[in-house]
Amino acid sequence: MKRLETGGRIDREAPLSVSFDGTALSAFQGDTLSAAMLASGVTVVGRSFKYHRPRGVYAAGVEEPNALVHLRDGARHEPNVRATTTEVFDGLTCTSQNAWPNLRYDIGAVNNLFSRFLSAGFYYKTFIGPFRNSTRFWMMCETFIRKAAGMGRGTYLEDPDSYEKRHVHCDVLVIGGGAAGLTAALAAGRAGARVILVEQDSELGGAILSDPVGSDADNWRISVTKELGGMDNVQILTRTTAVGAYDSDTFVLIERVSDHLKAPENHQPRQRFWQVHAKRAVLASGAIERPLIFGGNDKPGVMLAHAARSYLNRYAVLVGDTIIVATNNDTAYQAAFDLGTAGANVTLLDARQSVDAALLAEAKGAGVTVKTGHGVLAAHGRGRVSAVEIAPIDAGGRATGPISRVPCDTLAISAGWTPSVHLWTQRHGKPGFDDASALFLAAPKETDALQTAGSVNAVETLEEVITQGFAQGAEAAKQAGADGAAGICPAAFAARDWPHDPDVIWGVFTRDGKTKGKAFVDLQHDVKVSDIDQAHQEGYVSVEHLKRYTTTGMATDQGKLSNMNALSRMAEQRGLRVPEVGTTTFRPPFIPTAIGALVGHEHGQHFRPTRLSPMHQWHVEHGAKLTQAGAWMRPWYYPQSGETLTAAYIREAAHAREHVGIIDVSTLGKIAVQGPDAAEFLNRIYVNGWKTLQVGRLRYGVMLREDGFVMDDGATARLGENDYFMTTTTANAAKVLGFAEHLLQTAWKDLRVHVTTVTDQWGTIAVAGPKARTLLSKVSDADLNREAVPNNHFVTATIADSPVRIHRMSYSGELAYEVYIPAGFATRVWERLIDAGTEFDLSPYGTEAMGALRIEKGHVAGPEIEGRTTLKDLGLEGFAASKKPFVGSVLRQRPVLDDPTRPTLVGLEIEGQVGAKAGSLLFPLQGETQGHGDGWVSSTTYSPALGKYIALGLLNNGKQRLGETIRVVNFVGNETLQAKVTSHHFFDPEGERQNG
Amino acid sequence: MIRIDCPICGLRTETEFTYGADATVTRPAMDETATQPWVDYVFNRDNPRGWHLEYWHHVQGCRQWLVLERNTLTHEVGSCRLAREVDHEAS
Amino acid sequence: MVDPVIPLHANLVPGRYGADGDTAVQIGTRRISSLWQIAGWSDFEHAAQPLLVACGLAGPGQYDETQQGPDVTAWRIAPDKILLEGPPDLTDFASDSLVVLDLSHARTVITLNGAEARTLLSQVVSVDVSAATLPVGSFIQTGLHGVGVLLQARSQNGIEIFVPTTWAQTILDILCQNAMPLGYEIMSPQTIHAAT
Repeated sequence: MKRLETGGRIDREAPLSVSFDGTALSAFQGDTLSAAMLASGVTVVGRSFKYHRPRGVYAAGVEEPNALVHLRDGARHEPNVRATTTEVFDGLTCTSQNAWPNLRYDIGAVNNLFSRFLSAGFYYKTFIGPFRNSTRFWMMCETFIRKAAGMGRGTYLEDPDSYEKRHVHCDVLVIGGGAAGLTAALAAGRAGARVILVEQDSELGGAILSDPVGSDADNWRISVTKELGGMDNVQILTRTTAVGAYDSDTFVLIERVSDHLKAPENHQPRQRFWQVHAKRAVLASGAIERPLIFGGNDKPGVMLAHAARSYLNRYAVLVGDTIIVATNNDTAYQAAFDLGTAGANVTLLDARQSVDAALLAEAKGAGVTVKTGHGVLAAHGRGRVSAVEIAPIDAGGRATGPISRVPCDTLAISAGWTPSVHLWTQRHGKPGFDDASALFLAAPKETDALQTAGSVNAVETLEEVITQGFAQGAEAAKQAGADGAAGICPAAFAARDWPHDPDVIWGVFTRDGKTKGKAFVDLQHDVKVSDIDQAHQEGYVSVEHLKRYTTTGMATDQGKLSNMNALSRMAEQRGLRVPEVGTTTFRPPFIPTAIGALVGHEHGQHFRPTRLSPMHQWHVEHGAKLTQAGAWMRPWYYPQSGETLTAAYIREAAHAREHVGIIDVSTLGKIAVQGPDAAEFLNRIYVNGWKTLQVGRLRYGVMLREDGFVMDDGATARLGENDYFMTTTTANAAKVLGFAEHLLQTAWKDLRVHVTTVTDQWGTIAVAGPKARTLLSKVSDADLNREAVPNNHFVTATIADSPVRIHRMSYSGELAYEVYIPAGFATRVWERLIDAGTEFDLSPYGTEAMGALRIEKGHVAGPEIEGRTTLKDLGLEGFAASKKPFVGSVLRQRPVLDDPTRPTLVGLEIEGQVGAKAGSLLFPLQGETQGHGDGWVSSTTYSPALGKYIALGLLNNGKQRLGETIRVVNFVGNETLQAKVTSHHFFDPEGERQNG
Repeated sequence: MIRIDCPICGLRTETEFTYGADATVTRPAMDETATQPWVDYVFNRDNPRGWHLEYWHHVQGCRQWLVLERNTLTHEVGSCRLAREVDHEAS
Repeated sequence: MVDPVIPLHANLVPGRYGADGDTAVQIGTRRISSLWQIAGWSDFEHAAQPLLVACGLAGPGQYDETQQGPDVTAWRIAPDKILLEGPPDLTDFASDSLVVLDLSHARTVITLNGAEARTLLSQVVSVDVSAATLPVGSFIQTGLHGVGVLLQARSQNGIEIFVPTTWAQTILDILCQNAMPLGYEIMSPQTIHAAT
């Protein structure tokens, strides 16, 4: 292996510092990591997944199964990075993975000796069969095996880079920048379509990049690329992989913006996730060379023939001195010729009995010895291939004559090409089987928006690749509505054809059809030919089962290298043809994709959007501790000089009962209900009646779901003849609005009602406590006397020059008002209350104190209205009108919901000085504490008013059990308390305080 | 990801919508007092294989409820109408 | 009456952030003078006509086109709903066929200006915001970071985003985060006031 003095697409003026396992590599700008490894003589780049066999660079692209490394250090460390697609940069560091203590002496290689225990399905069998009921043993083994058999290690450090998402819309998306993709983009671009051309390489050209610089092919590439570059309507995305094709017109691309740099620069993202909606798409994804199967086909030094050619022509790396090219098709001849020309001693073994005479003559001219009807039965060598056993073979690939041993240092193999139909199958399902080529091909219908062009269709000549690409590009543009002229297709350059051969030999076997030594169909997962055989013997028939049982083609391979050979073996074993066996389904993503790219910016603070009250800034500036309530951030409590949560909420709740408190309740859902039929609408959606509510009044209401369970509660005020102002709980605002809209737009189209959210329009402050009236009377111009504004009335007023509405209603059980303020004035009004409140000993309180106050009053909230409770369960059945139908009025009377033994709302007075945990289960004093008990605790608090811990709970037959002492069991905390069952109206049951 | 052609807003991605269940069922009249029609409306579903009608709510757009044809087998999307313009007896 | 507080003012710290270069997007806000929603039923267009005429508008308008009157801007946001910016108190137009609703405090405007304003927008909304699909004078209702917003193209490089007020801060934050690779400039409140 060596770097040549001339040639290639590397910049010899730009040497880069690159290291692998601490050793410096020879690397230049333009190299991939694998090219630098080969140029530096690195033979073993990793250890295999299960058997820890030494492995070398095998391919030159995304299909690479062996050269997976740990890339970079620290927080940017990334495992399982393909060296073949990693562009080198100055300062690149990488290390080998899956080897301990190091690559050369890997202790895990002992697995190789025990391989018969690690064959297909070893997880299922070895540790379940004889050791049934021995979970501990299984888990111990699993730990060991996971350590030994695995991939790279990730990092636990936070990813320092950012990832960006972008949504684009185009007329034509062209996937693949090879010959077919280039002409497709060219035709569509000339026609005037908005085109996006995607290429995963850093440069356009596809397979042409493996042709020598300055060749006809290369000049063709440069000329087409130049024309494309000059089109404003063509967006070229290199270093970008189309990883997924989804329903309708959606594709996902991953652009590696900064991966070719040491670190992202100037705030650029590391990667960009493109969601593309394309009216039409042309898949020109080409084909991946298929390995030939034989014993020891995984040894370092064995490599795909086209990869050997890529390393030579693109990176000026000659991968060996004595090279055997083993093939079953014409395409590998070009690799043999180029390698021979570059100075290697090349012998070509062609599995076919007869080969075109012109090709043989060409080989002779290039100094390449060709043996037809021969194959490699096994590769040998410690660490690296040093010799191969070759034999004459028959049409089935079985050795027919004497075996001879031939020395070599490199084995370049090709069993033909597998079209990369992945994206098509992601979108449309299983591919079709083409008898002429014996390949699975995409089968687009003429009307489909996704068409295919070029080698992905296994077309035989370059001429066809180019014209097909051009025609598909032109057609896609036309279908997308671009009416310009595509002009004349660029003329083809000379290239080797890919003649179809339906009877390909895919592997070489002994006389009796066995492989000689371990022969791998899936190198990445260490799946051998014998594993396929074993699965067959054990009765596996479905290819989908075969895949999972043997793990062939799973995970990142997605059948790129392994699929056809595994299917061929399966077909042979079953005595069927490959199409009768079928193929597995390829799934997105086409290549491994960073989770960060899928997440984009939506993590941490931006995991979901946050909603803030218009008074939020004040709370933050005044030291409030915040809590999440759905999307909202709310003041939880306002600690005074190092107070704990508990101390603070007890103080705040007690303070409100004694003096006056204010709380920001802007999070309440608010819905404008407008129209001449608004009262009728309310009458239907609430269980109680609304026809008699007068302007200037408000009323508490409860809603059910269609199935008869309680959905939400809240107060609704009548602002005008046709104008109502509904409030909902914070949690259910969106649900109630959506439900109301559904009813009005479907079943109740006859009602002239509109519902609109006004949650954002109004800030809301609840003022509660004996001094609430005095405070509000001081700051506003309203007459708030008991007679003027009794409970469930409201008035409009002005506070701090802001128009407000003051609703008299109480959630805390104190004399209380809710002040509704246009959002932009809310902080002003809040500050006015704070200032004016000094003389009344005003104190703000948070949600924890609010919870304590409402539990003392026995008001239900989210923990009680949780989707499983009925009006009766919650003691709200008195609200339900008997004379009118409402949502849920029929189904709520189902016998199962009417059962008197259902859990019903009760109060619990906890004995002792420890509170109950919400979710604790309730049990009678005597008997076992097993199962679900007699009920559960829903809400819990310390009650400053009662001087003890209390809770709300739902208890079977609860109403009949007042006075009973029960056990409150918290199985999570392993804690049992005793509590007395009481009415849930703990405090001021007659409501004297709020009516005062 | 499906794309829905909202009659008001045009072709949009699924993320702008919320799914609203089966659109082939008809809500009983308000004064229906028998239990079975309500049980059928709330609980009983056909679960067809193939073309189906579904409610979708364009919550992040025009807030209209839509009746969408969707193929439960292929995930193809067909016509999309405003629910308010769908005559339920005819569907 | 006093001026309402635009919630973003407290957190809009003027300055230049993110990537260097000439791609910076100017991010700011502006005051909404007034915002009303009118809604009706099957006879909506007829019922709304007197109000629309009084606002200097020709008719109910299209679902994707901003209507510009002398003092009033209008958006047809649903078959039977129109949002109007700039009208006086519309309460007197309410009838059994038309309801009006004051939403002046319910939205906050975030402005994006610069050659890359649409690029920034394409990072956060799934709709096509290219000049071809969202031309000057058009509007679109869509989701941004999970929040329903109304976008309008005021100019080739100038976009306004109407965000429900309680979500404004989170939307501003996600826009700034997304703008880091382009670079962005927060306009000073003085500049904002001058612009309104």
